Amino acid sequence: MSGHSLPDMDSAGEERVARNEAAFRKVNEAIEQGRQTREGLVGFVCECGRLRCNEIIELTLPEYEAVRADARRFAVRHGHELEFEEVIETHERYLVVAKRRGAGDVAALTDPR
Amino acid sequence: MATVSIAVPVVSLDAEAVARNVGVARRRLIAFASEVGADRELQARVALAVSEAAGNAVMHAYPDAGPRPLHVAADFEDGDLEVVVADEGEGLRRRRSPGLGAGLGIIAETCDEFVVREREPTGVELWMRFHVNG
Repeated sequence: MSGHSLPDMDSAGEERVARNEAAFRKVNEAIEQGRQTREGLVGFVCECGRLRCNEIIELTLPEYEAVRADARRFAVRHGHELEFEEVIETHERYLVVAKRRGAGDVAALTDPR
Repeated sequence: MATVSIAVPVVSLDAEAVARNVGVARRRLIAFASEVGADRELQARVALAVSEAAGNAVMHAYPDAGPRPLHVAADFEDGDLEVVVADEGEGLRRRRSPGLGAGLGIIAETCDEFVVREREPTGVELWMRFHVNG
């Protein structure tokens, strides 16, 4: 899978994207925290880390929890995976990607859990 | 039993979710934050978060013509400034016009605590807490 490429992406760029993803993860944690029922699909923001993307993806809370169980993993919309990420799971409504190298460390260090 | 009334500073604004009211909300919250002791740096954070929250309501909550309520409220208690920005729009759904804007990510990075609630029957409520003392 080719994924999106960002021009001249280096490790610093990957870490910047990881920090963006971490910010969107905080948003999704806020969404989960505000949820009053565990039933049905919940709208979360795409965690792809591109500043201009803030699209909504829909996951059940158990699906979301499964992503959050690993600090290096993020849920993104189909087609929003980046070159330096590994697609771990493919679901109908979203993908689960994993960070590697330094970006993975940023993701782990910024995990609010 | 005696009733003790404790006055908690509050501010609220019910307005139409249109661009000019983003500025109204921002100015009102800056003034309120100043009144309760927020320094300039915190006032700036509150201003940014409220602007992004209200801006999201303006830009994304209401895809169709019709009423566009925007509710902004804040209080100050136990050293914390709590702000709620709410709309009565279509909620966190996959939208016809994509994107909530980058605002939610900015809000998450700006305030000390942040919760997103879907309102019944419709709408989104953004609850933000800022530590004023500490």
